[in-house]
Amino acid sequence: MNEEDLLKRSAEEREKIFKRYELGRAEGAEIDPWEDPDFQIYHVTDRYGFMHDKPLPSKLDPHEAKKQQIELERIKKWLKMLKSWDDNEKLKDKTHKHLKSSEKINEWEMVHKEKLHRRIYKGIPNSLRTQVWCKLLSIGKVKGENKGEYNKMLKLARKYSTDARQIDSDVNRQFREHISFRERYSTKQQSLFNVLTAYAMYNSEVGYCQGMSGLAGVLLMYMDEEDAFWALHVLLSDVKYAMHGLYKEGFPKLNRFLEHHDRILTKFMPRLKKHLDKHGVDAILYSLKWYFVCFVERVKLYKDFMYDEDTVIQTLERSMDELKKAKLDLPPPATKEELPSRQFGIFIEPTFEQIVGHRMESFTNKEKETNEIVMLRREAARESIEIDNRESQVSASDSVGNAGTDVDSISLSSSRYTVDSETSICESTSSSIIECTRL
Amino acid sequence: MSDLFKKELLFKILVVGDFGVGKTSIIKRYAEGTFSPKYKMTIGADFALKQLDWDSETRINIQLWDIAGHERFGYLTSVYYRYAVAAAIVFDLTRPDTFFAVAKWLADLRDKVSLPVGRPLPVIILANKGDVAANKVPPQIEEFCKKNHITSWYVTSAKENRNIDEAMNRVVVEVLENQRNNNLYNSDSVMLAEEMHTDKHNNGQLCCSR
Repeated sequence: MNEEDLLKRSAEEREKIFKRYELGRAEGAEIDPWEDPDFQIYHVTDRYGFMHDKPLPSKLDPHEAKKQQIELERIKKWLKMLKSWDDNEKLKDKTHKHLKSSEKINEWEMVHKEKLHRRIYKGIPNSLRTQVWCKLLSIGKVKGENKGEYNKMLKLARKYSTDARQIDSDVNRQFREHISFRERYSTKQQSLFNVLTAYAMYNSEVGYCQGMSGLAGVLLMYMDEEDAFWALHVLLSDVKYAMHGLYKEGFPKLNRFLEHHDRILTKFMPRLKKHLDKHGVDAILYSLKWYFVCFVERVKLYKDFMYDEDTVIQTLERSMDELKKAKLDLPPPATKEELPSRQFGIFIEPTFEQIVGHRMESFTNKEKETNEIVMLRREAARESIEIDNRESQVSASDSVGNAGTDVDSISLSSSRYTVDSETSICESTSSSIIECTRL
Repeated sequence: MSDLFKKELLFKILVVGDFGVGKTSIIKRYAEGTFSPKYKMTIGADFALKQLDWDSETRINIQLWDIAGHERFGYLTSVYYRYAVAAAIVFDLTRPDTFFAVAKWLADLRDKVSLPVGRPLPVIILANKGDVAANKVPPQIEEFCKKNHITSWYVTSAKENRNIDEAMNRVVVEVLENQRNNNLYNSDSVMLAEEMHTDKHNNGQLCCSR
């Protein structure tokens, strides 16, 4: 095939994929029977929209009933808090023109910050998630400042998207056990495809990376298409969440976190670390998914987690204290390369390889460079901790021992919660992304 | 149980190929005997285990590594490839482009995985989704294999369980041959196997000599 043919074929392919999503499930839709859910199988959907293979019990068990009762109580408190939050924002809008409202806002946030944090940790009531997430991510503001931009990106994607093939394949595999994503080309599948192809145009530095479909999928469970688009954008670009650096070529933020993870492991569980190293088990093998999809589909908490049970929080707090003592509570600050450097929404002509969808022959210099830096830095981190350990062994062997016990106790208490990589989660799915990254 | 076997080996086998060609389906079919159209995308890598009672003396534990086909994960492959003794490259008969990518995956493998004594990594090619009618195998495949020292390729179907056991057996034969020919018993994979063996028996009754 010559270049012209290849380009023609790619254009046709793109055309075909977009057309299928535009058509949705309307008459004439060509859907391979095994792309669609099997209606023969009896499914039952939980209150988060996830379907289970076995029917859910018709009567709530006491544990679940109590949990829902507590959530109802929580809703009242949240509504009150949301009202005051709203009032404050209105005040800000009103006073925006002639006076510095920042002081007033800070005041509200100062007063409520701790309460907000505590309540978020305990769980945002599911029915208020949409509202709370939109507030936390300032969706209204961001959307208002970028009127028309989303539609522009949709149009650009329609014409030029080079990620459509990968995104199409991933939409077909994302949250298919969820009621909204269950049917091929359903409204939410259309939205997911639109958000991801549009965002790949908007943030050309990142484009599309696997993991983003999970993120956007969860957002779409609680938001409409355009809100989800801007929420995704805030999660990537706002310095508070800065997931941009996780997904962009070379994964600089992932590398920084892995390094930090290694440091903690070396310090607190040196024997485990040595064992893993000996067998070539790099942290990236098991932890990539933690960071890329914020534990979506990794941890299932909803079964055992009691809303009034603070063990998890207490254990986490205790562990954080230990980490703080060891000055390992936070990874080093982000480097500049993790943050967006290219202007958003600027169209960049795709290359021939991108259009045709050929895999690049070799790694880019950027990738090679990052890879090397990472290797070196990790090696250095390992050495420094080892030296550190040797020095502190004499003076503080006791405290190291204690710290180790504490870390163990996390795994003990968390093992009470079912960890299941296959089953989808509700509680942790939704709470992790926005709620945890913020805190 | 394992006392029955004199040799217990551990092979790490990679399964690579472009996104959506069916790597996860093939692995699930082989390791668990099941097929579902609802597999999720693989982020980074996953792995599965399969135990093969190869002959009356040998038990082989196969570690199948499911490597994400998403291009951006490309530079991570060196981490996943470590200690591998063989690989299967999968392409999708319904998407001709995925066959062209086979060459790139092969180059990546050959570039990053070296066996002791410089023998090339045993590789097989799986032309998957063979259940979908009217999909022709690309005619270039024979020549491609010859040129790249690949001894076998199979038309497979994870859905209909076609040729997957056969293909995996072929890989195992090649790995065993490779080890025999070169007396490579000090390769990493066998070291792991030896450790497993010694762990279980405590007295270090090894299956082979260095």
